[in-house]
Amino acid sequence: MKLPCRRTGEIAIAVDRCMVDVLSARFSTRKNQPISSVNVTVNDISDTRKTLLVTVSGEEISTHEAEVLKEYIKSARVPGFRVGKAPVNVIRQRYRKNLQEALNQKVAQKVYEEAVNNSDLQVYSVVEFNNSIDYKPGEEVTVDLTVDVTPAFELPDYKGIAVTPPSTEVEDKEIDEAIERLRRERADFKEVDRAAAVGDYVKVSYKGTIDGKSLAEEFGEERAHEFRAYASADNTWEEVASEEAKEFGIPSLIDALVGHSKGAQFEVSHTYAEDFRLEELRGRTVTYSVEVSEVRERILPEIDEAFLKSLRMETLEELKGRILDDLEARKKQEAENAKRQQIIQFLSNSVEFPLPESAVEGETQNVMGRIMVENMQRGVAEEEFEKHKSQLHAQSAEIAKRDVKTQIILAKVAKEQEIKVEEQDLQSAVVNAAQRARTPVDEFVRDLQKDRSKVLRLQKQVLLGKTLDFLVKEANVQDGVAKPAQ
Amino acid sequence: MIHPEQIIVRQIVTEKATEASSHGNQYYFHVVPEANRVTVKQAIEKQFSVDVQKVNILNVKPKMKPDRRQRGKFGRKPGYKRAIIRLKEGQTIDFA
Repeated sequence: MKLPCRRTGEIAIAVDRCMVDVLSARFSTRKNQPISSVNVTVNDISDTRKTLLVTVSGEEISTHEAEVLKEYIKSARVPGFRVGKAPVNVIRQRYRKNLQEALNQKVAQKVYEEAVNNSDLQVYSVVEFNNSIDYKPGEEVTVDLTVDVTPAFELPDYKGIAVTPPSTEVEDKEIDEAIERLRRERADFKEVDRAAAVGDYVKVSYKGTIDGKSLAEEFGEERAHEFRAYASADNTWEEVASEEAKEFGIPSLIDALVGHSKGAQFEVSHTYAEDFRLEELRGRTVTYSVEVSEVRERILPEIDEAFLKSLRMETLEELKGRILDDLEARKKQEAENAKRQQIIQFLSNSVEFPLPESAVEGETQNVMGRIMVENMQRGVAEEEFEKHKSQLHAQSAEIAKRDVKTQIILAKVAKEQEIKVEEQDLQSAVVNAAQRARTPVDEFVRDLQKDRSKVLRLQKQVLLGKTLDFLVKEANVQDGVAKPAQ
Repeated sequence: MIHPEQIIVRQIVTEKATEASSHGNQYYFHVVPEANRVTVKQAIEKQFSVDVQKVNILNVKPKMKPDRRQRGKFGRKPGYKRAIIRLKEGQTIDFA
């Protein structure tokens, strides 16, 4: 149906007047639109932190509004109209809030893109972005956002970095030691009626006092659990004069067990070191009254058929072969890790640049979280973290700075070498991560789909891993088996 | 006597009404059953401050519609009185 529009005299084909207005307005703004109607001004706060003033012209916002409207017109369901036929003003009234939200989002995205792409800055992350502004079509708006930028720096020559990984050769001595360890693990403990010697196991009871007062009296009942192992014990097993036992136990007591046989009673004093774990015991002398109730000798099993059978081996050679394989695999892994560590060390030592604050802060939180989880799994109480909070933060910040620096350098290498994360890399990374997290892959993927930032993080990890692989491949390995640089 | 402000129940905003307003300068209204051309004209002129050129009035018949809650039964969609007014050229009513 072709009818002249009463108001404008234009011929519109089955399109209402308002629609014509909007469409013509849109085309006219497009035609007259300057090449870039978004202006970005940069103000320096620090080397890595900048404030960007992004000015968006009224026409730009109008254009976006028209686009948003067009989307809504296409799919809006309004009673009295077929889908896609409702006029603009009806849509505007009905979906005012949604349209404003969509426009805000669209313009904010534009502002973000412009800030990131058009300011000649390598934006690392956006620190602050006020996106609660309601943009109005035709009205110019200036938005300020604070960003952290990746500092400019020259990459060192990263091809052929000299690395000296530890040797992967396994010596016979190491194999023998491994067998010895296996024997010790499977040792028998036989009760003997003689004085305890080094290496024997002794069942002892002891009670510690400081100037005649028990440790519980000295330090209070409520803290008794912390000192429990150093206060008293009933019928506990100690390995006589063993270095390992001394690390966690009472060194003087463990040494003093030598030469005492079943039923022996004696006293021994121990002065705790100045750097002892428990502050209250540092430098204090505790007197222990000890009673030996049993002495057992460690009898190592002979390397015979029974011993081999317990290890599911046929011959000694087979066992040695197996140990050799294990040790070799472990050493290779260690060498690989060492290479990576050395490359990271080299890169981070050879360039200096200021790090983006937000990245360091974010990474510090991550590292701190990781340390806390690890320690909690080891059974460290939460109060301990509170006590050493500042120390923990400082320590985490140090690690975070190193990590962020490495990440920035590797990201630059990846960019220069055009290393990209392929679909299959990401897939295998997802499978690995799921296995590590001990969740079924499907569930893990569903989790990832919910949170886009997790995918990005994973992608980043894969990229950095690939870059490091590339550097290892290119590295100049200095133990005589250097691989040719490609 | 009905007060002019009570004559118009609501403006009808449908595809057909929008079409008519853009191409014929005509506007559709749902009016009370007691309304006639004269009262509608007065009401519109007063309420929208426009000049009405012509008023057409018709009774929309009630419709039988299938009842969605009771299968196989029909419900009744009530009828109403519709007024179609034509404005003087150049004048408009914002209908949204």
